[in-house]
Amino acid sequence: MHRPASTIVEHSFFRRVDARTKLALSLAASLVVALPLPSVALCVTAYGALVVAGGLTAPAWRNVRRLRLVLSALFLLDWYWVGLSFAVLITLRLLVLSVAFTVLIATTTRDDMRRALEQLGLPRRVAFAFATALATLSLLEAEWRGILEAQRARGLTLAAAPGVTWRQSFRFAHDLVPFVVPAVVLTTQRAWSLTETAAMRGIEAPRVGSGPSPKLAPLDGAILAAVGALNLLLFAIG
Amino acid sequence: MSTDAAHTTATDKPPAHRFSTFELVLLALFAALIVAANVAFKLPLKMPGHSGLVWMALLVTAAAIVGKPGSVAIVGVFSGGIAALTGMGDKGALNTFLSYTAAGVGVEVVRLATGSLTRPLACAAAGLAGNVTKLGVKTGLDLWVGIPAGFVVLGRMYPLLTYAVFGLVGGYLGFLVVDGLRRAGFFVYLAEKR
Repeated sequence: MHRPASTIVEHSFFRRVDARTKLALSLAASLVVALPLPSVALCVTAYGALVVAGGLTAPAWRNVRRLRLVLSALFLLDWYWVGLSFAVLITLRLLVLSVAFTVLIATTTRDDMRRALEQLGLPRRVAFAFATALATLSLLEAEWRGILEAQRARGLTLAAAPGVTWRQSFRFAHDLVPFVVPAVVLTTQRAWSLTETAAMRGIEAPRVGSGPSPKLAPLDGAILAAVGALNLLLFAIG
Repeated sequence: MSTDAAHTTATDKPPAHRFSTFELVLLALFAALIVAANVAFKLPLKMPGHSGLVWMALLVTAAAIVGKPGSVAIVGVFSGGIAALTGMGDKGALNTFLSYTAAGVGVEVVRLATGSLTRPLACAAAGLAGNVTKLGVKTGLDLWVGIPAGFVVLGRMYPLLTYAVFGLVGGYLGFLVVDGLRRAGFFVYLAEKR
């Protein structure tokens, strides 16, 4: 599984924050990328403080570490060709973009996300389909691996490259067919059984009751107000 | 009683342009299949854009199975959401979401332009459009961040070529997959299930 449940940072105070608020916070941080150095630096400081206060340093650092080579190379190139302040600006902007959604991703479970999507107006069936796909991701990964193993056991292997000529490239596509067709068939069968289960549980029936409450807690209100004020200020000073 | 039942069936049946629950779940699972393929189905290639081979094939297949306008774009949006939420991609969730979505939108545009993805050339063109649109969004985001256009253009010239080739071959693979499914009676089976 790509992202086990244990990667959710349970001790963070962001676990008590509504997913919609965290989505707004992440989007607001991403928008600041368009602004000049002082605003980006202020945003990095404010967002960094939130990440540290929320105990999310480890997941944020993981994101930064994956980008370290690109960041270093770009910093040196920008510094050499343009200047130091420009190199700092680009590095900070890329940093903001890469960690902006850490707060949302590291502290939001699939159920929280599904509920938030419904509260944001996504139809219940669409939210259900999305949550189902998220939940079956690890199964599908296992199925891909199973198909690979099974076809290898039958003697089917893939060439190291699609080839330099068009003929070789299209031959490579032919070689991939026995790997993709079983995946499509298995996925369709799974979709059918999931739909039947969902129908039995009343996914297509009219909703009984008012559904998830769209109201935000005072903590969410405070965070949204602070984020809104900061973004307005940053965009005002440009 | 029978009149009531007929009336209920007629009114509850979604209009042709709307997606049934099965179609939505199927499209969402295709989206997850794309994300899972990017993790589990690694091809022995060391060239940028090679993930587009299976990716574009699955998008073209999704278009063939759910032949309604918007279906491939939905797969793109779902796969973007799943990939972003599972922490895939190294340039942040926004980049991941937009590039996955762009791939779906690229294929969708060609599907809408050609009417349907039944011919090998149309499938290959859809794959090309999907993979190159993905690269285009990544490039656009690099420019938005402020990376000098010269660096971006120089850095993306070789990837543009490989993305285009892998997109073309991926789209053609999609055609082969759909053709294989058709020969195996998959679409007849699906129609009976529906």
